[in-house]
Amino acid sequence: MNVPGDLRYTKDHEWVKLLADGATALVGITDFAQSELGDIVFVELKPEGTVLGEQEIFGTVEAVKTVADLFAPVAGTILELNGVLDAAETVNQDPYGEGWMVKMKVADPSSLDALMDAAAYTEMIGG
Amino acid sequence: MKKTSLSSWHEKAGAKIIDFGGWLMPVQYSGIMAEHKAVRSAAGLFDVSHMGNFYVKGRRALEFLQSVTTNDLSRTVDGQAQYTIMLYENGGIVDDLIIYRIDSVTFFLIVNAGNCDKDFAWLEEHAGAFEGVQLSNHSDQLSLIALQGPKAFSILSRVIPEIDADRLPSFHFRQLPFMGAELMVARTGYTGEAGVEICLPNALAQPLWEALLDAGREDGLVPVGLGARDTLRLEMGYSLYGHEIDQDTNPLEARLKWVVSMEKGPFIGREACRQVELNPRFGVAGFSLEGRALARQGCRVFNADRQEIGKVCSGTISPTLQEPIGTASLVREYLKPGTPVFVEIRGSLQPGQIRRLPFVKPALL
Repeated sequence: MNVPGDLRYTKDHEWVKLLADGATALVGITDFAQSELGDIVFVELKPEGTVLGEQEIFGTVEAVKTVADLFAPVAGTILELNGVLDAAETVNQDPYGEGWMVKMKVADPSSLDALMDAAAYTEMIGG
Repeated sequence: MKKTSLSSWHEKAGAKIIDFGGWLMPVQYSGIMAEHKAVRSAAGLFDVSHMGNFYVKGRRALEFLQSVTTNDLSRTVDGQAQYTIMLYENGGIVDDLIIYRIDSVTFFLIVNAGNCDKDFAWLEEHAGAFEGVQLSNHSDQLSLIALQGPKAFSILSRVIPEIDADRLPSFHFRQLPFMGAELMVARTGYTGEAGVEICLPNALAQPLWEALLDAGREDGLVPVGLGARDTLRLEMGYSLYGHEIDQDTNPLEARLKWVVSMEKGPFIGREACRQVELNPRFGVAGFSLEGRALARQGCRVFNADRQEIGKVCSGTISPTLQEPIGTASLVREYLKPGTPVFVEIRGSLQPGQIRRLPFVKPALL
């Protein structure tokens, strides 16, 4: 299972990547999550401007067999939704790249430190 | 947790395994969408060995089965199979099943995995009144492999040349040799495509499975899990126990009137069916949704005036039509194709309409 070293991870299988400006981040679901969900057919996201608390639901991922909520890894505000996700299978094909879900302004960049690094996440998923 | 004889094959093939009715079963290999499309365009191979298998034998076996099932089994001939239902006295459904008439005193039953023990106990409870009827449960000794799709028969004839598909009509079966043993090959299935379901001793399951996959590789044959099995059956509007039908559903209110023979003589549940026949209140219909969210079992369904009219039985995306589809149990006034309906998904009402079943008409049916 692919678990890139430069990302932070949640127990709910989201990843978050702090961008170069140190204040905004991309959020998506992990390779493990897309694999567990199977064919993803629909990604529904809260609109731009939504203020999220840590662990707050920011959307749902609908797969053929099941549906899963998306939880904000850290507190912040949604700045941008990934328009590419009209083709929801992008999340299956490229979960860490083209398949990112939201760009958010992170309320407190140091809050990422509390999340799992790649080694801890790999251990959690039994990899 | 029980495993089929092909369990280690599935694991090695990288299948995702789930608990289904107490069995560890493959839900998907490459992915539900790809597997579904392979069955509609080429062929798919399914391990459905979790299903239950019983023999019912004896001079009064036919009479006994007529009394515990709804369809008229006396209309079958040797070598013919029949889809039927067992009912409780109150008309609720014990299970749906297929009965294979081997000869006038020997019948073979294939029942749902999740109902297997309950069904066997139910049959035992009622067989006592029919002297000499013998029941035996072979579910742990037999495997069931389904080969389905437009290429199914050309693939099968390469492995079992004796199949002679042109002279095997739908819902008929034949006993054929394979590796020195006997297989029961039935022209039945749960996908709407041409194909067979093959019942065989556990020891032969993997040899047959691998022989079919080898023979069908160039035709695009792939293993298919329970995920695509569900989307395939739902595109056809076939019932699944626990969804369209269950112990609280009367068959006359679930599109199954065609398997209930009110005239054949008494059977358990007939009086309840007679009451429902006089005044049916519900029915099962297909629907599609305009948006992209998928309906799931239990979602509430509303009419154009926002009055609740029923609940979703099954919901998915149709891999063939690429739109959300489902079945719902609804008040009878709302079953006509084209009727607008609204399905409540995650708190919002999604517009859709009643659709004619099946959603998809395979070319080879």
